[in-house]
Amino acid sequence: MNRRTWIHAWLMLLPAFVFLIAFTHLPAVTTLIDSFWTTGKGRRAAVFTGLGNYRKMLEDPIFIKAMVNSAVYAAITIPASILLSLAMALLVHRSFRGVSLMRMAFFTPTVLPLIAVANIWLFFYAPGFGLIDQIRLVVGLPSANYVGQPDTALYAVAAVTIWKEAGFFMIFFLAALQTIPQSLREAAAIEGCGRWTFFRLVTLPLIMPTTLFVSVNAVINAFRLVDHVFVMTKGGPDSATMLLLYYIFETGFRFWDTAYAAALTVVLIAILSVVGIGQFFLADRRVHYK
Amino acid sequence: MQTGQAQIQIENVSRLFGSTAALDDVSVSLRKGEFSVLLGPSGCGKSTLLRLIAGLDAQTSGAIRIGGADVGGKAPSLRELSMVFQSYALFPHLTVLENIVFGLRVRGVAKAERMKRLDTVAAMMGLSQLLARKPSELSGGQQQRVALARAVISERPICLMDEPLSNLDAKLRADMRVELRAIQQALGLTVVYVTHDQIEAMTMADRIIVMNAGRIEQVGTPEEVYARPATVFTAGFIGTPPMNLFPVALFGGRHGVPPGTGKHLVGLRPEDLFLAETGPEAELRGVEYLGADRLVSARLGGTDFILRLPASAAPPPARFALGWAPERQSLFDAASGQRLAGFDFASPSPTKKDFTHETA
Ligand SMILES: Nc1ncnc2c1ncn2[C@@H]1O[C@H](COP(=O)(O)OP(=O)(O)O)[C@@H](O)[C@H]1O
Ligand SMILES: [Mg+2]
Repeated sequence: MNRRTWIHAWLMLLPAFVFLIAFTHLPAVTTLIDSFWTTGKGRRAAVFTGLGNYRKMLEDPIFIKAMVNSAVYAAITIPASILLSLAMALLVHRSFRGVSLMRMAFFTPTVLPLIAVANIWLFFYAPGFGLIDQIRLVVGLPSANYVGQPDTALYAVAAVTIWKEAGFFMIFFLAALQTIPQSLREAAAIEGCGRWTFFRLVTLPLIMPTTLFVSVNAVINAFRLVDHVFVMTKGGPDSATMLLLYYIFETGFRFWDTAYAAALTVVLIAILSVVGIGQFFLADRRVHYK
Repeated sequence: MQTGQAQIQIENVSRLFGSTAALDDVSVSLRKGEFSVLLGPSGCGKSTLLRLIAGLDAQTSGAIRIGGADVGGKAPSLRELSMVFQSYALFPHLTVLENIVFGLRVRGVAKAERMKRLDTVAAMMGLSQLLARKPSELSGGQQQRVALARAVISERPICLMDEPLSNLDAKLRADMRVELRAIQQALGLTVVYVTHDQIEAMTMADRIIVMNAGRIEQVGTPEEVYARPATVFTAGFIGTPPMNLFPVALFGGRHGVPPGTGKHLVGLRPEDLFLAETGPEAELRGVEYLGADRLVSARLGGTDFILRLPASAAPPPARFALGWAPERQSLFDAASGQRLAGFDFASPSPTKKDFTHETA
């Protein structure tokens, strides 16, 4: 290629390049650098502390609480949303009266903003007159405040995530199921293969790429989606629903300890990278790509 | 090998999709150890009938018997049959080996027995070197063999095939026709084979069931179906080029053709026509040279027809007298399209005369 073509090529790339660098790569690098410094305050300039911010984490009880909460939250929401979405996809994969209505119902939570979803669930959980309490009262159980109690708040928040995510993942599973030719099912039926055996021997391996894709997304979302925490609990009560990302937000934009927030962000990114890469390598051998 | 006995009986079977009938009151009986071919144009209900036999679909009315027993409501796997699909229906994530023994595995056949049968079948199909491959690493012809191996290893007496050769190239298709027939003979299988390709039907079938628009037009050996088509449809569908059909008025009064006014049709194959000294005068329209012979397009009293002449003979002049072999002529009722068997000459071939076409 001659000089002119090179210049044209770079000019074409420039707009995308500028945005990518300005809003993705520069902030990432700055965040990493900032995490080795203290937060500058007023007349006191930032000083280099090396791993000081990271050492501080180990003694920070709220950080430890946030890590444990995030782990529990991920351990609940990831498998639950994947299993539920697969079950829903299998249910609406067949054709029967009202199947499109059912598909739409399953998908609706996905198109709602998470903030709105959180408000709906706040009503479900509301003590005294909420949907769940009304049912409890009918069957003779005492009123309960799921969001307000430290021992149930995290599960209450996790339930919202599952409800929100399952419908979205269902679409991917449904698409994967639709690509399995009907003739495979018929060939198996002639061989005397029952529905469960077919699911185990054929369906499950064939939708493995989708399962991998969905699980990577579920992992990312488990750390990324905290909108409903803002609406429902603000991390409380007593840090019971404090998740890592929400803690980063609080540290950075409520307490303005930006350097510590930067260090927390580096931890979050490290966790996501390790999990994401590990998932691909682990699952790769068991995934059937056509 | 015992043949002749009815193995699959279709009794007044109809299958409606909504208000349209894919099969309309079909009755036919398929014999044990025979290669039966369901032949007809696309959309005539062949696959539908095959799927009813397999139990993958249920008829709207009528009964299907296999080995004498009504199989209504019986699951496909309990009907003691195997099936080869047009798309092969191989499991893409399983190896050739796993694909072939899939059925034995889900039915709980012991591993030693599975491997023993596998060895035999893989050797028979020439798949021994390919057992570790995935279907995507095979050619179309090899995939087809795997599908066939999966049917054969089941050792079930009936094998259903739905256009199994339609995705292969012409050369491979010709080889597979011979091979399929050989396997069927060697194992004594009762094969029900669906195709729209008359060459496949002619070369492989013991018995052809000609279908059209959800009905059976004729059941007979390839010779019977070719030489004595039971209906105008069969006459026009079988043979390339198909049988010529002339209004009886053109030939009336000769060679036992009843003098008529056009209520009957005279059917004659292109090879049963020739240039004669005297006869109705035809007008030449064109000549197609095919190597071994020539197809001559001509017109007789407003009816276009084709005659086949050996290439060694001179091409006909612009106007010529048409002769025909009267013992080969077929006479049809113009209104109903049915063959008028009463006007048949004594059978030209030693085959048994059999005009059972079971749709009334
Ligand atoms: N599942 C179905 N739903 C509606 N119509 C069908 C279905 N299967 C087949 N048909 C109709 O039945 C007729 C016969 O189809 P088929 O048996 O597949 O024909 P072919 O002889 O080409 O195998 C066609 O007109 C087709 O449109
Ligand atoms: Mg078909």
